[in-house]
Amino acid sequence: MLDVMSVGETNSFSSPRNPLRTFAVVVALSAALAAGSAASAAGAPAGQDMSGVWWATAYSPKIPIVGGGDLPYTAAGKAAYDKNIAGLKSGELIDAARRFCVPDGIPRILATPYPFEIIHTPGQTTMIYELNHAIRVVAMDKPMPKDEELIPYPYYDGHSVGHWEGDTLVLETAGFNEKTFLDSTGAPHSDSMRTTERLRKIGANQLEDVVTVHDPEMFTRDWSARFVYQQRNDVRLQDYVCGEKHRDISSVRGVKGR
Amino acid sequence: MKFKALGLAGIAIAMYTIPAFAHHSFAMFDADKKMTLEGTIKEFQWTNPHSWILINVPNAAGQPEQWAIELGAPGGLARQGWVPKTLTPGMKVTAVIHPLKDGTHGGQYMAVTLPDGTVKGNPNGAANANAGAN
Repeated sequence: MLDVMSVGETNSFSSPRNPLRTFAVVVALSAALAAGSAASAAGAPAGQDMSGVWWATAYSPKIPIVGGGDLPYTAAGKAAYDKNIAGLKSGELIDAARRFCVPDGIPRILATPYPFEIIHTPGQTTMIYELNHAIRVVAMDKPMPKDEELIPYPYYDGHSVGHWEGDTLVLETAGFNEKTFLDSTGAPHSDSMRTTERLRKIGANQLEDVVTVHDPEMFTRDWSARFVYQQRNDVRLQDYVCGEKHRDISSVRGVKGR
Repeated sequence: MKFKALGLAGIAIAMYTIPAFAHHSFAMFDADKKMTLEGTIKEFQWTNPHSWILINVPNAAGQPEQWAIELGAPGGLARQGWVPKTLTPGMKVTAVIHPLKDGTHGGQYMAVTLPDGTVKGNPNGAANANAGAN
């Protein structure tokens, strides 16, 4: 408020009609606003804010391993993959994420052709996916729970902890169940899989997520896949209910007519 | 989870799952009786509030019939060394249960012998409210 002036005060510094005071107030307010926009989410350091809605511009049913090609399966992994492919083809194995809208799991959800939103709150990063209305809750700056804490609670999306390394958000996830595929072709994983994601803003309006999968039961080595998203703060997440109509995603390259 | 067509098996599961969500008493099981089931694991459900073993046991005519065995919660089982894959579909096991008093195909878990001979639980134990945590 600029007009705090007692009755009887004359044209002193506190008077709003003093141009020097007005100038000083304007300068102070501008400085405060500039500092505020640089600090962004909840007073976080500059560069540590991925809040907003993100949406991929391309989709692939097969997980895009860095370097291309097939995943480096062990014998057990290859056998499991062949079994999944055969089961999906015959109908004996159902893609539950698509039929019953249970969560896709990690890393399959990273390929989603639907938008998602990242929200930062003190101590937690939350990712809300329009697909299946899945929610990932990431405890920030906390240690990964021990195996004995994870074993009784195997989650579709695993249990995630995160921390910042400069401008990179690092997410570690473990404690998965075996009810999800790695991608839409039915690629398998075991419940001892652990994933690490490195999220980083690139360019003016893009976010990349490089996920590394560690699952020695299924794969001969760790491997990574990279996903890129466009910032779309013009978009709000919609309802998503199994069996009902969803938003038009035909603009996403690689999506077959849905 | 592999979903198959819901048939009699699905209904049997429902019958045994519904009481589990009410804080039920273990009086439905005959604490004075022990029954041994030899069969093949159909499914092991690692869930709260109670885990379940679904096991196909041949009847007198040699036809497989499904039995449902109720255990404790995963937290207690994990402390006894159980993991979700301790029992997997197709495993041939021997289970010891306190059978349901009404004679239907179910019981309270006492012990199970795995294909490699490992015995989990206590086949001689008395019934208690913490089924599966002995």
